[in-house]
Amino acid sequence: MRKTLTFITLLGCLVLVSCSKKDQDNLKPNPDIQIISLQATLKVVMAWDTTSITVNATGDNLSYAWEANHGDILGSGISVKYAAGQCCIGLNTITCRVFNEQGYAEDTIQIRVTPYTINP
Amino acid sequence: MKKYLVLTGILFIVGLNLLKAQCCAAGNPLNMMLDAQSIGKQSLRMSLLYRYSLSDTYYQGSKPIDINYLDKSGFNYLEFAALYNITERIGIQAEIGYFLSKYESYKNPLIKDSEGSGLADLNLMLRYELIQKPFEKLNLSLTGGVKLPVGVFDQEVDQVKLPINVQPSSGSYRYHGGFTVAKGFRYAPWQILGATMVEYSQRISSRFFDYQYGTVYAFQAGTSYTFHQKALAIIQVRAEVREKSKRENNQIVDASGGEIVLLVPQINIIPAKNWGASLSFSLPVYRRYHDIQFGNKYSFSLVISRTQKLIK
Repeated sequence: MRKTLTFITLLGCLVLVSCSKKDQDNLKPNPDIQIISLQATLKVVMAWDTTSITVNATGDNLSYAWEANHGDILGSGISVKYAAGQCCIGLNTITCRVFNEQGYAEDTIQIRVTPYTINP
Repeated sequence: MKKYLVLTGILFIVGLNLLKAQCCAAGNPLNMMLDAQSIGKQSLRMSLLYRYSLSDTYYQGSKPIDINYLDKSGFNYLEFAALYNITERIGIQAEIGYFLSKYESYKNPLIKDSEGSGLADLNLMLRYELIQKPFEKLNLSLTGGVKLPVGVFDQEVDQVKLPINVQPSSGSYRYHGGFTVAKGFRYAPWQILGATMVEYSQRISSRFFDYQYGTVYAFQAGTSYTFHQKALAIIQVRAEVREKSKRENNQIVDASGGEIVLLVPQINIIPAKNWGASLSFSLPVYRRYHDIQFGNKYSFSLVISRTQKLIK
């Protein structure tokens, strides 16, 4: 019985250790950062084609973080490429976060991915 | 010695890794190591699994199709598992995985590979031996459990979130149940094995992401043959059916799910008392994906295990 309890306790510790993620998202909105524009060369792309997305922002010591709800962000910095496969057909949202040590500003752009055709 | 052969030899691996991909990757392994027979009351078995998986072809339904995007994707995966039998019939099992690497490389050489690594999901499982008939060499066990997305699901490289296909964790709570059956024959080196499993994924709903993987149904049947005092071969046929996934507003993801049939040859050996080792390959022999998806080429797994009686 004692060894059973020990085993269960070890399992519990494993779960707790595994669940303890560090929070890297403690920044707050920073009004000193202004996103002037967030633009894509194409807002409608066929599956597996790419479009370039560029952010223009003002502020000091800026860094740029990107995220797509469906599809892939390729590259990094102020300009990235977005591509998505057949699994991501529809209206997808790309989020750009511009940040520095004082906080962040955020904007989104939507790209529509259309079905793949062999001879478009 | 033959008892050990039976105990370790019929450990066979359900690897629902091949249809896990949404459309573009090899997906998560979601291993379940099922035992067709009990390891015995108050016994502990620990095992370490390594799996490699490679995908390099797009398929439209069953036919390969040339898409100028991904070149290949795959993963190197480790999993530690511990099974403890509280009683002769009831056992608890925990499995925790770690991706050494999970990658996608692109045909365009100007695009940098996407690669993630880190803690994967935690699987907690309860097992109940419904039928134990040693004289008839018949065993039937039921399993049920939950997979917890304790691992990394928001991994970034250069402040860019990696594609979901290379995130180490599935990000979803998944509930599974199934049964395993094994039937041996007196004075015969043969044994037949079967298993079935269903896995339901809970919806992932976060600020930026709303997605639900399709339910997976897996069936497998095989036979084992003891060809040496310390070695045994298994051949299995495994079928997996995955329903289509859903994204926000319950939109069906047409390019997800499908059916695949795999041939899984496996060899088990006993290198030393209480130790077991197993090597298996998964080779797709039939597939029919919905729409266009990136399909698995092969995977192989190596398992080292040790079984110990805690109370003598």
